[in-house]
Amino acid sequence: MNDALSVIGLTKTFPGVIAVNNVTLSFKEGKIYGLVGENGAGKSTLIKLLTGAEKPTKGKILIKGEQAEINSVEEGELKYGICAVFQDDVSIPLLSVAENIFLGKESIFYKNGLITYSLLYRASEEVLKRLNLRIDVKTQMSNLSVAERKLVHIAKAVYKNPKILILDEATAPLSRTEVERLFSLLRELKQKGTTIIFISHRLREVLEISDVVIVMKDGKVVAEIENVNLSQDKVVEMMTGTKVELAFPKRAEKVGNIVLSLKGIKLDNILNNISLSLHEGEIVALAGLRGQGQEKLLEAIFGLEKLDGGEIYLSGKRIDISEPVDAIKNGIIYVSDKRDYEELWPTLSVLKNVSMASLNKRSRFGFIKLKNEMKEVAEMVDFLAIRAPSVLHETMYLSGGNKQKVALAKWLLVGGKVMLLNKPTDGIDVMTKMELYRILRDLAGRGKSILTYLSELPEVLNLPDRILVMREGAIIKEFKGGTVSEKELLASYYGSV
Amino acid sequence: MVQSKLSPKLKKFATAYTVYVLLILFWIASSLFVKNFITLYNMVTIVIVCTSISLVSLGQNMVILTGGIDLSVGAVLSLATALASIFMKSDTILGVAVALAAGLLIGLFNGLIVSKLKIEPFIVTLGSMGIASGLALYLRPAPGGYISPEFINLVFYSIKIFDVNFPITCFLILVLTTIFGEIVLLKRNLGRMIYAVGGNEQYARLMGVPVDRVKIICYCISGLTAALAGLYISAMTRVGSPSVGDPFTLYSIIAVTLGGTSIQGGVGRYINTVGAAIIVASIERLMNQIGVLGIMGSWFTWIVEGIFLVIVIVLSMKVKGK
Amino acid sequence: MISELEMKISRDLLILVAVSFGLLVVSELLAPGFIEIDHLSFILEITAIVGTAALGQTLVILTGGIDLSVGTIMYLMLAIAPRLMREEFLLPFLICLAVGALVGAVNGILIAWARVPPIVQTIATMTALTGFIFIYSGGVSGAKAHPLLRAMTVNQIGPLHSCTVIWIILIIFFYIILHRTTYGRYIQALGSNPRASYLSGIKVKLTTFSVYTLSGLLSALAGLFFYGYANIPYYPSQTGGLGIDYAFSSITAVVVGGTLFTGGKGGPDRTFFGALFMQLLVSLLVMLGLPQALRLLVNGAILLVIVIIYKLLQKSIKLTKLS
Repeated sequence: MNDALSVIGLTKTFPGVIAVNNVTLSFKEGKIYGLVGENGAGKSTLIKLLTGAEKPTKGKILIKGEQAEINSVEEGELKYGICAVFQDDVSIPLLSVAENIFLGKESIFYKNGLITYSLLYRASEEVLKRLNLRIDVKTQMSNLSVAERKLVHIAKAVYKNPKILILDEATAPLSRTEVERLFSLLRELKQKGTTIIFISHRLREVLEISDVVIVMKDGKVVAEIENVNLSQDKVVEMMTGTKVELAFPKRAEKVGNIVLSLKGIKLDNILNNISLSLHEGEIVALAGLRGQGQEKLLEAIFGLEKLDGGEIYLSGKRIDISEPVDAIKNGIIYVSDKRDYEELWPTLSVLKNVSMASLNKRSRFGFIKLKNEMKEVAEMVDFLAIRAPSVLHETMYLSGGNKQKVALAKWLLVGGKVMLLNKPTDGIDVMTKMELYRILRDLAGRGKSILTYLSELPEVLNLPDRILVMREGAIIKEFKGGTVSEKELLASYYGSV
Repeated sequence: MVQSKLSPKLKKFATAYTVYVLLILFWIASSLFVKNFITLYNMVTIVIVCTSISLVSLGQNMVILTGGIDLSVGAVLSLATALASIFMKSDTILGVAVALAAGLLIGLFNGLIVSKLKIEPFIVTLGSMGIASGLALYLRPAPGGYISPEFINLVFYSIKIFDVNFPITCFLILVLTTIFGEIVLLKRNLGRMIYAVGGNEQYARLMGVPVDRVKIICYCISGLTAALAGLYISAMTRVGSPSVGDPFTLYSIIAVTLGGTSIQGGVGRYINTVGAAIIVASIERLMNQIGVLGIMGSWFTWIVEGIFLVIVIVLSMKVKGK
Repeated sequence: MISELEMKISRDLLILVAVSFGLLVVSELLAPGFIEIDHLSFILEITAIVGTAALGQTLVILTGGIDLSVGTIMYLMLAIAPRLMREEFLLPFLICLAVGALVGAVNGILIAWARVPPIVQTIATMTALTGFIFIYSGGVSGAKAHPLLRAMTVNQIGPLHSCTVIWIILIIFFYIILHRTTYGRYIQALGSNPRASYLSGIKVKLTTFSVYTLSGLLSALAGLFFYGYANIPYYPSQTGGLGIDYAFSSITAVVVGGTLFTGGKGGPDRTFFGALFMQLLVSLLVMLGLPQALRLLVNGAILLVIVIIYKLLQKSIKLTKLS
């Protein structure tokens, strides 16, 4: 019996780099394959080759035993039944949900050569039914939450009745319930014979859903094994080639005085009377289901949102923050999760990026002391182990993990006592994550206070000194780090503790 | 104030067609200021002027919706008049065909370079503007040439209504262009894809939209409509001219943006662009009627337009809430 | 201490300089005496006029914007300077510059605070100013340039004309500002990523406002140079917005020089070479006896050719860097 999909000797090279190196794999019908690997391991490129977004340099792709040449994403979908949900939220914000679902294919709804919108809307509702989604298809895509948009994308892909369904980091914005719903759908599809390829950094989920786990490293497939008796540690070991303990740095022995104090913070109906305090040398994590106000709280403290009520105290003194500039002046810095959009200057060098927020510290009468700049930046690059060919390279060429380090470096040079971090390890490979955890603990040890929103359970359980669980814009539960089990923590997310 | 008393449906209507609200307000204000503003004669003049602007603005609107811009439309217009004035000597249809072909070719050229080489539309069309201008000037160094009378009569075929010559074809052209523009943008696959490309090009591509092809089509249409406008103008002026199209580049950009199309693309309707064109034409008419003439014609127009533009844009920003 | 790749980036500048040399050689062959000091100085003199406006345009483009009103401000000077500069020179001169800066400031305020897109705003300014100029001056030529203005523009300091010297000094001044000061970094940051700039505490609105004000100021100076050079002000018979051709010339100079709309590369030094190259090209075409029509055509074509070459270069560099 022929495999649903197989690749033989698949290779993709870009000038100077072999992104996918002689990969041979076979995917059977009705099985779920979990694809894991560090950032840069080649997963995304492999997917691009399978979907037709890129063409292979060498090698063959076989669909049901016959060689296939996929020239575009369109062709991959129509001719071979390969549908993918990409990592990015690929949608057109100002167009409606319905228009996004059927973008490019509106001619199906032509009556006398004109689009009949009632038909379009009805068809879109049909599509969303697959995932039991109750979303107004007429509303603009931008009015949906990130999770809802992702679900629309998944529904769209599933509706096409693909033979091969590829999900690339599809669960990132989803809550646990939504993930479970998705997984039960995936199992349904599996029964019907769909081949599913599931890519994720969330090893726990991968192990939960996959029949087979494929590990990639440096463009090659280093392991392809049945999901039997696999542990996360073992998977990480295969990914990195070394025996790595998913060990987090030790927590703080004791913490200092209160540095930051929030009283009665109110914002629309997003933040509901929030009060918390942050001590010197402490790492406090905001936790909970997505979209409960964690990110907005961080942004509000930094001055990106106008508060409707509440006060902020820094070392006991009341401060007013209406813009990022104010926050920075008060020693509060914010590292956004949207690296490319909100943190870095892609066409400028690493050097300029790192020193941009703290230029006043090494300039006199407006003139920058270039030697000092070079020295300080070099020190920071060392401290954070930023890997770039040179500090004069533009940041757009760096990997995700290194970009995050550059952003962090930039803010570290600003100084400041309070660090607000929004999903600092989002989309970063395991090795770099570990590095970052160590760095954060080190910084706390040196007296910094860190308030961070962590979205992944392992992080929340193991890194912070205190955990503040948020739900519907309020802090509903506080745990001391290390005193709560995973089950208890997760339960608290749903407010049932 | 007044707004809170308006029903939500009316408010929605007003926001979607703000230009027309402004237009009506302008007409009301003008008729208070000048005794005989709302006359058939004036309306006819406005229609005649507005048609040319609307034609050019159709292509420009599509290009801007994809996030680009076409600076060459004015030059293509001039080139079209020049070519018509040369080739119509042999045959009217040949003249029309050559003019349209030139517009199409330049549009194709623009589209290819913008989409395949990924160079900023501003720069590409700046270059092609120079080439088209140069060609126009070379072919027709001074206004002149031959525009066939049959053609002129066809375009400006009029019937007398209440003592005024009402140009039926003109009006028809305006109406048909508006309908065509609205249909393509709102009711056709191409239109949806245009908005998608302007909304988020990268994602549109990943969603399977043939982005390059969409852009090329838009620039081709832009070249064509500029050429059509050129033919129209040549019928109006009865000659070919090397620089008659120059102001139309700005006119088209003003009409498109005044009509609410965002310069970044992805938002905006052509019917509003036409409304903006009517406003521009109305301002011209008002100024002419008041008798505010200067060396260059209606220079006062410029001030009013300029301020108008800024006010409208600022207001629309406020409405959208940044 | 510059990396290998940094040097490669300047490949496009090398090409530009090389082609400029080529133009010089060809011009000399066609018209011996072209590269005589006097003539070269004359070319630099003319270049300085648009070049000064292009300098302001450079700053604006570096922040990711555009200023289409530069030419109109130049013509505005032709309208008001003859009336202001009767006997006195210095005060009227400063007032003229202030007027230019004021126009730029209006642009800057509306662009930075009211979020009007730069292209729309500067077109609006252009149309508004055009009308104003015609009311104010009635399109009629004004008085001859004040002798001191003439001196400031046309008189020679060594082999170069004054306006050229002033232009070059300004180029060097802004080069230093751009590459050595915090303000310059903020300009680069704005062009590269305005959102990140805001989040990093850079005063985005203020910086944006300042570059348009500077552009207005420099356009005013360019206009005064124009007046000083031409001695008698005149207006072309133009219906499409007065000065738009100068605006386009300034943008061409910036783009040909290699400054990118997307920030991170370019600057006053590049614009110097860009402006010079375009002027050499024009001079060569005039010498070849090409009629204006063909000159327009070649101008447009060359702009396209150069920009395409830069783009291809950029692509090949990008591929190298990704390895």
